[in-house]
Amino acid sequence: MIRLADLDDCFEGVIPSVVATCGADGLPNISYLSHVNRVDDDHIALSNQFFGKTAANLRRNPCATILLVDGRTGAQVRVEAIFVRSETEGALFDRVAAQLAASSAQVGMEATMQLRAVDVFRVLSLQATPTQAPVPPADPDARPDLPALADAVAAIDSAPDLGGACEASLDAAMALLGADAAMILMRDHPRDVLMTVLSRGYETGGAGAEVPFGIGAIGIAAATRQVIRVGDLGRVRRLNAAIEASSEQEARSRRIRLPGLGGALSHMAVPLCSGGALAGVLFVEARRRLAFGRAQEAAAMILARLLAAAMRASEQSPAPAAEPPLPATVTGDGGRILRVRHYGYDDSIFIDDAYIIKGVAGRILAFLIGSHLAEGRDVFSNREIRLAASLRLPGYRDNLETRLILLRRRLEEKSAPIRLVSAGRGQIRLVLDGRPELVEETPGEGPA
Amino acid sequence: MDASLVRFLLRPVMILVGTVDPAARPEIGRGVGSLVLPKAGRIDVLVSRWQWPATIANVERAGRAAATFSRPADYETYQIKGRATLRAAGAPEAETARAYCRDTLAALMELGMAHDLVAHWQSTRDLVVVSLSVDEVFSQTPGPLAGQRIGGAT
Repeated sequence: MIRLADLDDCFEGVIPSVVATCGADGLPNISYLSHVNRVDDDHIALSNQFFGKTAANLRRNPCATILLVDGRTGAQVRVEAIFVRSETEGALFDRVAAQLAASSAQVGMEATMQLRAVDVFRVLSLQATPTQAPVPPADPDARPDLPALADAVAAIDSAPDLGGACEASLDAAMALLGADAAMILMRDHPRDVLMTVLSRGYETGGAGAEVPFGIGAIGIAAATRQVIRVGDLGRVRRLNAAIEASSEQEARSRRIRLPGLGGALSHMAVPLCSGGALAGVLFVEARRRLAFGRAQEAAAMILARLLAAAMRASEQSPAPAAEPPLPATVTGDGGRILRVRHYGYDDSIFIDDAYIIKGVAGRILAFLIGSHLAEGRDVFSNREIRLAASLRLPGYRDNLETRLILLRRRLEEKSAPIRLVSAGRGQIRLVLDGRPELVEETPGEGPA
Repeated sequence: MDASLVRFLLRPVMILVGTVDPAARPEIGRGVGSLVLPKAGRIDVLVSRWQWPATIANVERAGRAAATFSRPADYETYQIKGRATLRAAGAPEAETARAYCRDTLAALMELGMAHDLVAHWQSTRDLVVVSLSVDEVFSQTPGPLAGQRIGGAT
């Protein structure tokens, strides 16, 4: 006997399903469906974008027959169902609307595919359609391993700091979820923008790359707080996948390109939410079709919640008492001048004409270099940065720990002559390959 | 049936057949090719009775059907409704079905579908002809005009 719970691959929206209804005139009506969702063991929900003939028929005669198609094998299942109700709000509606927005954006149909209602059906019977197709080889169990998930949860939870927790989350994304590439993005308060912090499996790291809320799978996941999964990107590739990042472009636009996995066929964006607050997004990609199913989504949600809680805890845990300042250590060529320019209007920082970062992270870097020049020290506690941030860095909101991880990674990725390294718990050290010279550029001036 | 619709129907488009049983319960089947007969105001749709027995039984009993024709590349879709009769398929119809399966497989593979997936939708066993009068034609391309009647004989 077929059960709805066994039909996950029919609910991926990869191959359109079909619904047939009967009109008042006794005539059949047949229509394609963009999305069918499993609600529970006995109910399915159909997305309704147009309130067309199908919806009108169901209000007179609730009998429907639905043909589901397995997105992995192509096998067809006939569903005999009774229309129960229509929902225009609520958790199910929000989930279907977000998924529809993400998949419609992939094919440039987001304008026509606005969800009007979700129609819920009770399933009366499920029946496999006869087929002449060859029997496919048994599918190996693709579900994430529970003991491995427990290990991943322990690794994230016991990481010495937030950076370690982020790295452990990326380890799990790659090994446990089977991703070919993964990245963690943070929310950049107060803007509705996400910034890449750490990534794996990409040709470029992309720390500091931005994604506005509502744009693409990552932006939609952030805006709607829903997991977005696309199992068959098909011919539509993410535009930025093929385009190489260049330093000249970066310096001109002050924009860091978002990394993309070439040839990706599946992706999943998971909001990092804890205590009702959005901290960022975990994004995974794979070159296989249907790489991320319901089971991978569930595992990713566990990892995401844990990481979001770690991000939140890092903001709330009392920092250790500041240790006495250590003497400055200038490494490398002490005589070389490092030209650091800080543009106040967007807080962008250039080191020796290379664009580094802008926004709050840029402001923090300018603060560290300025303090180093004024006081001759190179070790700073997160606590004093936080304090300085609230007093001297207007517009600053939170996420300091995550911003420092991002800034540190960005400087590494740029092989910059100024870097940040850990100096023990709650402290960072400014490592300088020369003598910095901080120039505060006045508003309106652009980089040379 | 205007000329542009006829041209559309001659392309490798996905075909669905909708019918209703005596208890007003709807049924779905797939077509594997069609013969467009604009002068007669009919379209003959080829269906595997082995794969879709309930659909064929409904056509026999009720004598009415709906069929949709959809281009997989851009979702352009039309639905035709009318009276339906049944007859056995001969060698020419079997050849039409073979050509249809070959052409739609090529079109779907171009969109990234694997051969083994498509095979589930293309049975030609125990082929019959559902001859449908083109009484009503509706546009079903996703968008604000979906469901609008655009033609037909009655």
